[in-house]
Order: sequence, then structure tokens, then C-alpha cells
Amino acid sequence: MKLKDKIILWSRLKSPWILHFNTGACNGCDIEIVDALTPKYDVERFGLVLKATPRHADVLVVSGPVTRQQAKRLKRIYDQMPEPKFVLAIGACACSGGVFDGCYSVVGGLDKVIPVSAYIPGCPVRPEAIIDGVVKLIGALESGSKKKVEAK
Amino acid sequence: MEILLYPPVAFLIALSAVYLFAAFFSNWAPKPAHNPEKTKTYACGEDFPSEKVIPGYEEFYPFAIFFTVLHVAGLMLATMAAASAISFAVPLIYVVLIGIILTVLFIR
Repeated sequence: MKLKDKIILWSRLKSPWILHFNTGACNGCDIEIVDALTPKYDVERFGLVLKATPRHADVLVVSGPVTRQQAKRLKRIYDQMPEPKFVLAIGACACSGGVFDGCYSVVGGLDKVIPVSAYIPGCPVRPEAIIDGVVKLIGALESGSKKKVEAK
Repeated sequence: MEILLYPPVAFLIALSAVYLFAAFFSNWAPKPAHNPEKTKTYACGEDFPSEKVIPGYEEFYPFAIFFTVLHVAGLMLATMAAASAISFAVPLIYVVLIGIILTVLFIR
């Protein structure tokens, strides 16, 4: 791996900035996401910073089943993020639609609209699970990047 | 080497350095996937129509002219040398003239 690739990989792994978006959740997972960002669980020690715009975000953290009203808005926000970008599905509803799967107003899980990098189940998802998912995503990115570069 | 401290030269050096820095490191950034959404306004996912803003300068020009006149007076007073009669007289005459003009303007 070249030094340039190492520096780029290091900077991406050490500062994955996130954008949180609710696509129709009951707010249970939203509260747990906010809990994870507080000092008690402190997911910010991994370099995560909550941003208010997709232009600055590397990871889109989504909670809730994708409602029909939110589907195009979610896609628009995903398209507005710069590459490389990743998506975290937080909670049972984001993973598969949860209890709302099959409802008339719900498209379903997140992967029906945008590609998902990691699924974190739970109802609501525990902050420890969010931290575990984030760490595993960062580890997967690291191993994935290294494999991609070595395959060149 | 003192020429490097002259503002125009220092400005050109700084501008060149920043340009080279940006050009070098922009090669490190990943190539973006072209998408029309990337250049649209972010409005929490809403399709917000962008409007071109053309600022009107009518209210700006009176302030700009007033500022320029008084700023020149200030600079002249600040840079005058009290020992030299010519250098002392010209700024004072300028300030007195400005004072007369502004008095006439404001009284009217």
C-alpha cells in the first residue's frame, strides 16, 4: 500500500462524520443514537462527529422504516453526499421494516431505497450495539480498503 | 530579500503556494460520481428550487462614497508630518473643505 493510500485510509477511518436521518421512526432509535453520542457512551471517541449537512458527512445513519413520503427525500440526501459514503441502518425498522413492514404507507427496510453498509438491529437499538456496529464498520472499511489496494 | 516582504510580492507568493497546495492534494480526493443532486441546495431532502440572487447596489454607493471621502481625510491626517508646512497644510485644508461641504449638505 502506498504512503498516500495509507494516509487517506487513516484519515477516513479516524474521522467518519455522520448525518442522522429519520425516515419515519417512532424516535426510539433516534434517542438511542443521541445517547450514543453523549459522554456516557461516547461514540465520538472513534472520531464520529454529528453533522447537519450531507455535504460534510461520510456515513448516513438512518432510523425508521422508509415511508413512501420519505423514500425520495432519503434518496436525494444520499445522492447529495460525497464519495466515499456509507449507510448504517439503525433498528429493526431500518433493517427490514420492522413491525411496519407490509404497511400501505411503508416501502420497507432501508436497503429497498439505498445501499446499506451495516445493519444494527434492535427495538430500540442499544447504544452499545451502535458502538459495536460502528467499530465493525470501521474495521470492515479498513480490511476492505486494504484488500482493494492489494488487488491492484 | 526584502523584496519578498513587499505586499504585492508576498501576495503573489501566497497565492501561488495555495494554488499549488490545492492542486497537489485535489489529486488525492476521490473522483466524485456525477449526480445532479450534488449541486442542488440541501433542504433536508426537499426539492427546493434555487433562485438567483442579484444584489442591488443603490443603497451601497452613498455609504461607499461617504466612507471613501472620510477615510482619505483620516489617512492624510494620520500620515502628515507636523514639522513640514506643506505636509501640514494640505491635509488640514482637505479636512476643512470636507467639513464645509458636509455642513452645507446636512444643513440643506
